[in-house]
Amino acid sequence: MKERALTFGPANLVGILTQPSPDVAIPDAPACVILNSGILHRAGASRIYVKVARALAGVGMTTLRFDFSGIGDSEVRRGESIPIEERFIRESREALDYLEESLGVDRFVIGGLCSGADGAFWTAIDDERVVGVWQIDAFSYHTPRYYLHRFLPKLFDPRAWLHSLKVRLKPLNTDTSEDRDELFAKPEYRRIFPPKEVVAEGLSALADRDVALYFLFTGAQEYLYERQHHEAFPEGMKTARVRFIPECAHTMTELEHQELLIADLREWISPLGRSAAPSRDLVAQG
Amino acid sequence: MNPFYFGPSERPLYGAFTRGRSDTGGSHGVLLCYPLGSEYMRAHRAFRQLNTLLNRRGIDVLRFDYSCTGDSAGAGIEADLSTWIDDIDWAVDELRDTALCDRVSVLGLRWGATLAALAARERDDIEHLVLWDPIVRGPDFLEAAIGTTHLSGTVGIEGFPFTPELCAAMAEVNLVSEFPDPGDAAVTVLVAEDRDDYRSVRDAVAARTPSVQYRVVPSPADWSKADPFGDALIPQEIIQVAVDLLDPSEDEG
Repeated sequence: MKERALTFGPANLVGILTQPSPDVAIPDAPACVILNSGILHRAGASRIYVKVARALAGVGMTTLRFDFSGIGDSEVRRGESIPIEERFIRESREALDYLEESLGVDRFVIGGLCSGADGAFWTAIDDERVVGVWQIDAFSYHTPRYYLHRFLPKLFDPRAWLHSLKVRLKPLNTDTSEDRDELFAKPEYRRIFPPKEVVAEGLSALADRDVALYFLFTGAQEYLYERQHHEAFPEGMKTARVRFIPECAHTMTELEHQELLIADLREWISPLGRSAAPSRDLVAQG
Repeated sequence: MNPFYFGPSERPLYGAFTRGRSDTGGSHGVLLCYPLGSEYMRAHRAFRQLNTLLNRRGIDVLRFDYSCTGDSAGAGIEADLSTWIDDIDWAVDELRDTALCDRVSVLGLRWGATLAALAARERDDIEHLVLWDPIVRGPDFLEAAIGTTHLSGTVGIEGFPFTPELCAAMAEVNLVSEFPDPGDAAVTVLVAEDRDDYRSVRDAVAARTPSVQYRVVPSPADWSKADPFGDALIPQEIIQVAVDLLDPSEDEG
């Protein structure tokens, strides 16, 4: 395995390229691109992105972890004001372009946690070079069974009613402090879940392109049972793999959960390395 | 910004070097030493802002990740305290070589401060050592983080592994009873809160060198807070004072 620090694209985004040693490298394998979660830099929450990149190198795949502009070590992109979703897509595509130009790779797997998951989803829809998407705490939606899981156990529990009352009485957050100095301002990503129909359409489009999907949901999301995503999106999730770890923290702070994710990703991603890219005709038909 | 790897070939270290905006640049370089574990994640953005402010004063800056942390080589379970001290030594040399600077100062936060103090005893070319909220006693840190100073197996602290060997080495650290000889370096103990243990460090330094300052800058300092979404802590007040300390000629405060 070899790691290299680099900058790429018009904004000189900073990234780390992790490449497998020649004896395990899979020719024509897709490369993986990992996207920042929130304002955490490219090492990822609990250094999980570093671990994923090195694990994927172990199964023969190259990974680029990079910082979006204004995050981590990448400079702010001055003089531009575009919606953050568009910036995710644009800069993710710059990463894909860089890998295509420098390494000749033309198929990609893209993934991330939280806002990184969101960016991976939007980019995959937008860019047909993407053949696989992995998301930790992706956009998720309630189902009829969700409400059963959530409220039925509490219906006859007096403590739950009491807790509900306390939550309602809790004062609103009145912190109005502002970061006035631009240098100290933190980039804001207010996570807004798009309408369910938009995600359904996106997942269906990915399914039509045979894009492989892997989801891990933690206990931090409004996600309550393993099949919730399948039931919310019956059309787009037919071949998707989902793992739900209710006791897992959003930032994956338990070492055993990190190991589960890595084992899952290695297993899920390996067949992508061996399969040929779908032909343009098939993509067009889809 | 120049991201690169340096150091020993068996354990390359990730570094981010930025040159100061000055016509006379190259005369002063500052090495920034991160805290450890989840505190490193929480402090990364603050260090970048500190980096930018120092550059604006014409100072060259190198930030780097210790072995087995961040983007540097090595798995977390291989982390070793003495290797981290060696890493700082490598980083000071790298800063000298890259920036061609005459003067080198080192600033560390939490464990970064403590490791920097331990690394400085091996050198006589550090001009100014700034210890920002240092870990004063390793056992106190371990008690607060994991409730014990001795482990029988590896535990995760907010996502980062701490092995029994690492904890045993941390438990040996005591800046009060054994403050390392800082050589010719001026030392500043820069803290967000006036506490007995911090004052004890000041006194321990004063026993070694007359060039000691103790600065209290009330500011947020909950570096070890377990934030469920990995939020950053950017205490502007103390960062600004750190910049002034490292570049006293242009003290804007």
